[in-house]
Amino acid sequence: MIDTNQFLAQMQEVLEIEDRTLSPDEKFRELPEWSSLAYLSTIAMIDDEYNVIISAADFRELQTLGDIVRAISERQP
Amino acid sequence: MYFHFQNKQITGMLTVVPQHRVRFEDEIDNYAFSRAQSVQLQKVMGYNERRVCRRTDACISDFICHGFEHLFSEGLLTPGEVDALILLTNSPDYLVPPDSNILQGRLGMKQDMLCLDINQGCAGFMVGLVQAMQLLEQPEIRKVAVVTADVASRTHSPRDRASYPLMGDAAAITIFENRPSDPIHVFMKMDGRKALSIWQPAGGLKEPASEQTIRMREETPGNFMTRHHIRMQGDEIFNFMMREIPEMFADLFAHYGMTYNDVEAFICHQPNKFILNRVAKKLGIELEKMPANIVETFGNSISSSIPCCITHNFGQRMEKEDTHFCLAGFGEGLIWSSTILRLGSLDFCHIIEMDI
Repeated sequence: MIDTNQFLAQMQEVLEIEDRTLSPDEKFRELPEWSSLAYLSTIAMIDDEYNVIISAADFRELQTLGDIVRAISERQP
Repeated sequence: MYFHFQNKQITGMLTVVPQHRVRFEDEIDNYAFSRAQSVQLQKVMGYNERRVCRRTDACISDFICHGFEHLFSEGLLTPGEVDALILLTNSPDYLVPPDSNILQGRLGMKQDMLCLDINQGCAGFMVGLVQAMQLLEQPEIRKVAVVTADVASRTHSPRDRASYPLMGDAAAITIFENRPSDPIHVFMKMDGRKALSIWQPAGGLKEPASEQTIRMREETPGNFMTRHHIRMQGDEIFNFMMREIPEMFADLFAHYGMTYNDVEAFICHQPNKFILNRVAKKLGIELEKMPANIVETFGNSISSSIPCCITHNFGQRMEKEDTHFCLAGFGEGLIWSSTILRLGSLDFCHIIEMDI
């Protein structure tokens, strides 16, 4: 299992959120900072940091940041 | 799979673009997104200026005839020399007959030749390259013109922010001939299970034009288009490119027994700057080694993106020097294909503008 706190910090950076802390329960698609560009940046960051590429179809199923953490962990080499 | 060829060369390359320039800022209000959001997207994707037709009835045949007539009048090619004309496009003038036959007639080419239309987009140049090299195995075929052309500004919706601000119109004519060369290997893979990731639903017999198909509809949040517009499933295509393209280059270079340093540049299809810079980073090469400046200068001209990238970035230098390039096309199909070849001492290698 990857480090959840580390991932949340990386997501804050991707989404350029400085004024609050994200939690694993956060429904990321409902965040005002979420966009198609945020999606690309997230996938790129996960590839850089964890060497994992989550397919578009699988990613569409994910709802919370905790879901992404689990998806990465399941796919890590 | 790999295709193998010997003694084949590109001997000329011409790109035709419209004179008319459009800036992303001028169109930003067509899109149903906040200005701040669009500006951020512009920065990352490399949106800036594009070349698009002003005329709403502009066709690929206009571009192609302009290009050939330029070559004929400059004495760089004669109509009778062309033994095969292969046209790769997503936006033909007609579904019947093949545009290449119409072009043959309009351009006064000889009857002893092969005309071939192929429905291809982003990887069109690579598919054309393979076809041209195969045809050159025939003793009566000495010169093949690979013609790539698309009027993307008419096949994409002006209210689709996911594709329209990327696209530009262009055509290119690339001449292939038998000349001494090192062995050429062409990597080619296809995945038809994801074929509808880039898709124009209506206009064929499956979904003929009707009042329903010509209505503008919100297909994805904020993006409006008719069923006749090409739509792209951005997330699917992005993931495909991230997964397959770096792996393809590793395979190709291993096949040649070469390293990334052995080529002067990676000339790729030009989907956007974000993807190309990421691929370059993944390969561990300098970003400049994989030019990504076509979207911001001309727009992504679909099948002509590779010739556009060569003529713009290397141009007439290619008429004197020669150097190793890696060429790669990927997208629609889905198809991903690449090769390494020596390019140079070309009879011509430039861009012309057209008032259209």
